[in-house]
Amino acid sequence: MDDPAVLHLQAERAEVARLHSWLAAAAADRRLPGDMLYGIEVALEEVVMNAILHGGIGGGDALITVALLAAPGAVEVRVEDPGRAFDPAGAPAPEVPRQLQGVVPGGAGLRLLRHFCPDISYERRDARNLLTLRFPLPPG
Amino acid sequence: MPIVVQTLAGNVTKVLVSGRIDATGAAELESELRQLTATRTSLLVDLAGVAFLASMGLRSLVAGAQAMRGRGRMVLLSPQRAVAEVLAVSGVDNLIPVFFDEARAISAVGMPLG
Repeated sequence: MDDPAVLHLQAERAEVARLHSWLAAAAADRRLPGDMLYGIEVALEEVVMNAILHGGIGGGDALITVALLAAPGAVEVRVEDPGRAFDPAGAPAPEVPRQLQGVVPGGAGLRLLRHFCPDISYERRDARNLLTLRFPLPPG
Repeated sequence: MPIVVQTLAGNVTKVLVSGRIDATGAAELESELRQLTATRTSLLVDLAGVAFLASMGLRSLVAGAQAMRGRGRMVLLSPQRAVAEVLAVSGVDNLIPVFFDEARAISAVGMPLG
């Protein structure tokens, strides 16, 4: 297993730009395929924005820590935040919206996350959310 | 993130978005759409130049389409494959019509409200 790339973000929306440039560099270092990077980016943006918008830590001093490492046959991304407990692996996914009226913008995030990362594990430890997203490497 | 606004024949407004609609780009897009939806009635958002779209960008698009409800139409044009996948998985393509042909998009957006 390689040394993980690690990033600490403040819980504010503007920080997400740093998330994307860090991820691009970490993926390039590990020569991840472009298709795979897209899925990781969509999943990570969702998880981090969710912590910022709904975790009750936005604008404060709390840090969100993101780590990426190449594991055998997969890329593993870990996200740790001190926000409100939220298990995206266990939460019921909102239904696919049928009409614009009453749609909560952002309700689509959980479906996106699970589509791009089918292997999600969650743990709540010491008042922190610990999320592990595993993205299988394409064969060959 | 570059956003270019053009007025086409028939009072159709075309919004050409390019680059990455990440959280920062989504904020720019949302503010641009907020202004346009207040004054225009036929909005064509051209996504052909968009390389990245995720949940924050979807929020901006849905907020724009919601602002148009009852007073005009908004459609999306020519998303790249990965962007189209995000629109489909999220179900946003059910809410905002997606076209891959500009002439069809223009005729859809120019239709009178039924």
